[in-house]
Amino acid sequence: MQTKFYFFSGKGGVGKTTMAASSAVYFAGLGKKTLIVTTDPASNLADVFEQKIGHKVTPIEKTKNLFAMELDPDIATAEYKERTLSPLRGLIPEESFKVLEEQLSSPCTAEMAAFDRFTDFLQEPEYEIVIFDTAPTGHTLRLLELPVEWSGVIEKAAKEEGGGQTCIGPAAALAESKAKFDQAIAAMRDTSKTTFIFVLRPEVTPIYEAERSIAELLKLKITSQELIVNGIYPQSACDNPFLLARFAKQQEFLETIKNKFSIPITLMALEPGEIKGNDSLIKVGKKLYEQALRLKDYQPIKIDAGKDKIAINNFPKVDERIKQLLIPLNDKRRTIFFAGKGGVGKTSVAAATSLWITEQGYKTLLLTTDPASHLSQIFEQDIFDKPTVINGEKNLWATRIDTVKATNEYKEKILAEARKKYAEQRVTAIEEELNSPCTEEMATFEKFIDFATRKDFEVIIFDTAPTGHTMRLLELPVEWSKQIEIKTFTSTGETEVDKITKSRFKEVIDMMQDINQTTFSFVMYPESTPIEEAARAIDELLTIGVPTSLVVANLVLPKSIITNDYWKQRQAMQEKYLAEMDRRFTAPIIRLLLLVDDLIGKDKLKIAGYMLYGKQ
Amino acid sequence: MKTKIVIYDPPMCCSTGVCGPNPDQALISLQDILAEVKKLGIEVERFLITQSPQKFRENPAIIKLIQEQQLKALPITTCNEKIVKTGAYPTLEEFKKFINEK
Repeated sequence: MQTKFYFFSGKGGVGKTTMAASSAVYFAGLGKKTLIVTTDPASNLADVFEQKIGHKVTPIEKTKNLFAMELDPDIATAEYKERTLSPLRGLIPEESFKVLEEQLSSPCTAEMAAFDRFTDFLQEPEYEIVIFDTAPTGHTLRLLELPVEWSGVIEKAAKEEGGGQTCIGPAAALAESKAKFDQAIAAMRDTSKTTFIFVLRPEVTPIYEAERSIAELLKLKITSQELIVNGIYPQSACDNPFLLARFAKQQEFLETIKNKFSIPITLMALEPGEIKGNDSLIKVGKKLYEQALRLKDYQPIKIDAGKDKIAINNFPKVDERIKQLLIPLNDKRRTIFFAGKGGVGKTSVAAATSLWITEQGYKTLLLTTDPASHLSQIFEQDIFDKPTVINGEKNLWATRIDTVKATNEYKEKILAEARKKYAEQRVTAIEEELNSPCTEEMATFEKFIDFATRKDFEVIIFDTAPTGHTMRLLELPVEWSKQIEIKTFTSTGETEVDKITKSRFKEVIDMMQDINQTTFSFVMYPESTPIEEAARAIDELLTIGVPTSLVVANLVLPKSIITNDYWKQRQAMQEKYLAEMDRRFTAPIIRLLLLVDDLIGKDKLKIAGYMLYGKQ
Repeated sequence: MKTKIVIYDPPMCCSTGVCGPNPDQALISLQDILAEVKKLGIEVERFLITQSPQKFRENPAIIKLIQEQQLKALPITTCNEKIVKTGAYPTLEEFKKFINEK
């Protein structure tokens, strides 16, 4: 059934944007006035349509009836600031005005502003179809939960048990916003208006993530859901043992998906070339809506691939220059960040790196800041929010930041302090304001600072969330330091606690800027969008003084598997982009070849570690 | 005439300051004082400069103070539109004094 709103979501790198853009081109082709909006702070919509888009509704030149917009959180914040402060412009001194602008740049405002804009699009009367190309799952679920949370916060504060205040203003003044949020929630829940489409690949972790997201959405009472399984190898193109083994794997996963999900599922084959520009989008749109193969009508093929023929045992020698980037120097802890677009293999590369470093004899902690992390699946053991020792290792721990738990701990810590000192009503007022969604961001950030200042490990590896989300986290120490400085401009003044907080932030900022302590690395596969995204992030990091010192090219096709034209075409594309990486990045580039199996379990991760960094 | 007290707050994230990098003790104490004032039957209205700039704009006396002293003038407290305190929040005793003196 056709609806007005379509949300495309899923783990990074599964082809969300391609599917969303192809759908947009298809609907516009049917003569429907269509708008495609990306909420991904690291969007590549412009690359796909091969034209400039940006933070305004822009007509797509080659497609009639089609308009696009890239929601830019920074510009959304600037607009929000301008709307809020314009009554005072020119009226109060420039110096004071600047401080107000700075205060409205607080991380809370950015979240508010992007979300405010997003709810605007959910009541768009001007378009027949609105397609949302969303950020990777964790971030998107957050955006969808916000209307529900804010609506609740406003309602509760309006009862005035504490002071009738919320983080975004007095409850009484927010009735209008609440009506808008409620309308957004109602639209998302209405099955005749909205369809949610999860895109995934037939692999372990995307399946897991789709399962999780579907459950999360059901919790928000959003029920209209569909799946697209993308990137399926055509059997005709698999004519050697390696490809047959991968084909067999994919077919097994299709069987799993068929058994696991009871919603409509469409199958899409891997295209030999890149999908960019109008013609290829039209082709994919037709495949998706007119020639679609449904999983319920398909019987996955069982073949014996005999994969033991493909053992890997020739590893490179250890490159001392790279090794120096991974181990502690001058008795200072080494901190390694793995960043990059969603789905490029950050977690696998981070896990492989942690095992390799541990083997060199260093006490290592692997930490994920990705709310949608799958570290437990990769290590095949439960990883908790406290450092958990990896089975069979003496020197390796792993942990993850559990947002819900961190938020509760943070709230409880502040309330416990408050209860010691204050009367019931004052505690209620604090509790009311702590229910704001901003608290979650504060709590996650607190945890990040805690780990980043820990002294009990020789190496800490951060497996980060997809780019947009991570950049925010890393810029926060700088931004919150500025917020504390604002207090010194006003009569509130800087307290002792503020001084301690600021020195902790400074420690983290200094650590991130020192290349002898910190190795910032970007993971990508050799294709256009992950390279563009990394290049943008590398520039942004430089603005806060953080250099990038390592680049990992993942999923590089091994020469031995190129036995037919289909794969020759894909390899030619990779070669072009590997050359581009050489040109664009100054940091050393190391490669990880595509393997038959997903990188699950310590044995496979160790092999990946040797392929990346060599074996003694 | 009913006494009307208004506080013009400095820039901050929220009225107790818990959503900033550190909860602010002065702001938290203020909540308690305001609860006491409420018991006396007096309503205190609060305007945050970054949330209700229009209210600042509508009051030339407030704008004039900010022009002279920058943001250090805030918070400003008014009682029946007369400025009674600047640069800090009033104590409970001061609130009582404003109410009796009006």
